[in-house]
Amino acid sequence: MPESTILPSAQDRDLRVDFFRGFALWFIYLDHIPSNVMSWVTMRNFGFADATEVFVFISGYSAALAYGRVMQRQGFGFALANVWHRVWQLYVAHLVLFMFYTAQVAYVAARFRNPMYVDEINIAQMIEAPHLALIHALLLRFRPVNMDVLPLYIVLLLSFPLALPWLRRRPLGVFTASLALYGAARLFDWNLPTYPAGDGWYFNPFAWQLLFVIGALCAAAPERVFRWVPWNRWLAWAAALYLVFSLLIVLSWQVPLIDSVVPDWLSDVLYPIDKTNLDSLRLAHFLALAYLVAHAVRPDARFLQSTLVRPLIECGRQSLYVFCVGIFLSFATHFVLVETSGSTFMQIAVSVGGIAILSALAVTLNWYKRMDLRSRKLPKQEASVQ
Amino acid sequence: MLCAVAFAFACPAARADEVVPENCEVSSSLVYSEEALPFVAGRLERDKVLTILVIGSGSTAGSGVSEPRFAYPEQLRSKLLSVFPSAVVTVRKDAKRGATAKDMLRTLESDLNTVKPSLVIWQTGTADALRSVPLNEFGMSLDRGLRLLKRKMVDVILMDMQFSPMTDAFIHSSPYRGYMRWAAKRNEVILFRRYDIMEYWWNHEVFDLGSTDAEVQLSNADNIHECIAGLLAQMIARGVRQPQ
Repeated sequence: MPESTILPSAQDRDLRVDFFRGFALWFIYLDHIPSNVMSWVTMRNFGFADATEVFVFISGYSAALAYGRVMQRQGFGFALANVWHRVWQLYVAHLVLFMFYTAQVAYVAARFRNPMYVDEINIAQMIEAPHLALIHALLLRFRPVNMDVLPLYIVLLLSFPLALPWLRRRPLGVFTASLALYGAARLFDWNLPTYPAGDGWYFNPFAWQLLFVIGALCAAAPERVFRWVPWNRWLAWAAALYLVFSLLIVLSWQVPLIDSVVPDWLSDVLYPIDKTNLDSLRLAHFLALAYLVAHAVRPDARFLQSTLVRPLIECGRQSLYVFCVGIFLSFATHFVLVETSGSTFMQIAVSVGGIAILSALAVTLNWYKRMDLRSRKLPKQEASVQ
Repeated sequence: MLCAVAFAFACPAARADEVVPENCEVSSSLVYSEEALPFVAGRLERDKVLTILVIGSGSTAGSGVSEPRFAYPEQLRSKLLSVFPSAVVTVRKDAKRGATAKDMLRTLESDLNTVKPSLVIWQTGTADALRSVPLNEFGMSLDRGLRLLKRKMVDVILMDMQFSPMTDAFIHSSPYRGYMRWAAKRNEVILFRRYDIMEYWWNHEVFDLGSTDAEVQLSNADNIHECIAGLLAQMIARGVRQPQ
């Protein structure tokens, strides 16, 4: 299989990136709705890795593509400014989400005073000093549940310029450094602090940066990556077998029959599977999946052009908006489920509704972007006449 | 055949299925366990005595029920009396609102010496998830407690947190539940999956756990605690019958 057919040409937008990012965003949305039967269809029930791995990898990949191009055309300084401008946008988005979160907690605490949940209701009182909580939120230290992906992305992108110039020149060096950091973080328990004092960030940036860097290297130095990990039938079989193994273990958590077949020594080796520190099982699962998918789905694959797949691609293109609105919608959806009915039918209905809203939003934003670009290209006289 | 083998226990198999109120039955995979309760079985056979210590946090203390006797540990006693009618059943509890696994560990040994149970029902995870206690710390407390119980030759049923549709969006319970599942498997103890069971009831509209009506909340609490007690009794009966 010649390498050139697997890589997109430099000018075309690689639709696969949009497609898989759209996928990850939909799954993140579904997974963020608590006790949602639709979350059964998401990745995490078929293997160790879930949408977060996909999201981080693709973020690295597209960051390297986008800012690599900027660096080539306009120099490192401008690329740096570009990256940090983006980081600022992400930070603002995080604060907006935090505002919605606080509003929801306050509302729930006021309305839902069920004494049976005397321990759980304390969540509102956990924010004992709201002004302190706000300061810590600004410092990315107070990150409530379900608001962990964006701060991770912020930190990763913020430090990305450190690696950017070396991605093409010294890919092996960058990979080694990243791997060393990952190993040290897991060995010495490095993490960033949280408030209230707890375990550190739910997604440890020191560990997760490895996946981001791997994604970036795949975009910036694909020929080298293909030389290190060529298409090999044995490797493909090993990857496939690992995926099956991973599926069985995940199933064993739900199906007692399979659970009884898993030997104790295996359980001892596998568990606990550390999501916070990017457990090697999850990393390996994602890499196996990526290896097979990268070769199965070419950049020019026909299904990527079909209308059925278009909502995914549109969502993938507007990832920040879709992500933020997705998180907000997951709050709202959860609220609707609790207030009206928690039945399975409702769960499916609101999940599908939410996806529809996200797709509509993405399509609208992309349309607006195209229109905006077109109006800017009009010659000045025409514009002033109108 | 089962009756003949278990005649000393006066055939609890049939009675065990009767203690669970009909409306709160759940799918069998949620209450399935391969683990046995050898110390409970031994003590029942020798002395016809079943002493249980329940340690936990707010829900175990009986928060939300209309009267203290409707809390699940108290209801468990009457359920067990109908499953093992010829046995002397004692249920003691040590429960404090907001107690984490580490807090419970502090008083565990003295409680064991006082009560001398053959079974400990350890309800934990709620306060830990709420406060985002470091997972390692939670795990260590769990492991230490389970090892202590094994040394003292006491059977264990681990119980995880309650499911609440309202606060579910704000509390990361799954890492703690996952850890409890793993600790239970590793230490070969039964895990009573209260969270999954209550979520099942919510999904199948058995109880409106998101209701803001005080009267509904009260009657729900009494019923839920009865259901929990019934399912626990059923689990204990099965564990006693389980070959080791």
